[in-house]
Amino acid sequence: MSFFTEWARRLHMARHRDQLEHDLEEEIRLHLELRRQQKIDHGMAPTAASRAAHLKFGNINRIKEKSHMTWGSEWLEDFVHDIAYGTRALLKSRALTAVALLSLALGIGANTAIFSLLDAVLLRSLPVKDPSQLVLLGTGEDSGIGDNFVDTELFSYPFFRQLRQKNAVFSDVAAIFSMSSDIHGMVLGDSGQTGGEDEIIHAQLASGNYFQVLGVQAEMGRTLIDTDDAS
Amino acid sequence: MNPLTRNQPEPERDEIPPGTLYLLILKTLAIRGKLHGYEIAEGIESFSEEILQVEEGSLYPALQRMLIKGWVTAEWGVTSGNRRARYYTLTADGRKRLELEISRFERVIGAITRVIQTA
Repeated sequence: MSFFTEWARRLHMARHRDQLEHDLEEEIRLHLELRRQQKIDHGMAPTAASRAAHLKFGNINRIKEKSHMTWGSEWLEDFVHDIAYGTRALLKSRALTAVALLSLALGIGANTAIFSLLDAVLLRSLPVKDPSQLVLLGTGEDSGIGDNFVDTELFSYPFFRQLRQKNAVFSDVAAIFSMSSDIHGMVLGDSGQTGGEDEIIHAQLASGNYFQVLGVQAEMGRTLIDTDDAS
Repeated sequence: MNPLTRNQPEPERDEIPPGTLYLLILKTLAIRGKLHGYEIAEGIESFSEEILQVEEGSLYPALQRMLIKGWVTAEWGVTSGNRRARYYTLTADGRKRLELEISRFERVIGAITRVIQTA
């Protein structure tokens, strides 16, 4: 805690500079006076005594400066001066200031936009139960058809059935259809009324255990379950 | 050097070793209690039997620093000659610091002594 009390004292000193300055001057004056008196008492002439006292004391201005530095006002004053100077310089050339501000604003804005996109796409984890354990086989492209040869991007439904049956690696395997089927429709509100406008609804054919594998619950009702595949 | 001071019959004096000013001030305050700047300077010189010489002005920035560090406190009082003076007193932190400075100094001096006495 002594770090904080020290800074409290520093701030206090920085705010009461005039008082400190005055106190220091008085201390120095007294010191010189007492030393001079001592020299006179030892039989020195007054002018010589005064000189000797100054000599023994050292350079008064340097000592004051060193004290000022101790008070921590140096950096504070420098800082205030720098700010004032910077503001004046900016006000003097307004066009330059405007251009600089504009490019800074655009730059920061663009960076923020790009970052929020990256954050959503790459950084934030999927809203499923255990994202780090999830493995995607293939590219996950939402369209395409497989061929007759061995394909490692798209898999046939029988292949999925086999994989799931003989699975010794994953806790479970689920499948989605490789074509997305967007449909249009209206969503009924709570009171049974529609929003009035058609909207796109992204639909996807999925295996019955799809939601179970992802560990996602339905907000209302139930999700598909494994036995739905049988129907 | 001022020629006037050369005529004074002053004993030969040594500047204090660098880094020992705090130690000397702390110790002087520990012995004498409440002192103002001039008395501290006098104290150091008399305790060292007039061998150590302080550049007296340098006491003041050191005292300011010690105030900030919380090793001493200061209050204004009146001297026996009825002059206003700032009196410094050692704090508990100052006493701890004194012990630290003494042990550090003794370690260094001990090491130097061993080097000197190596045959």
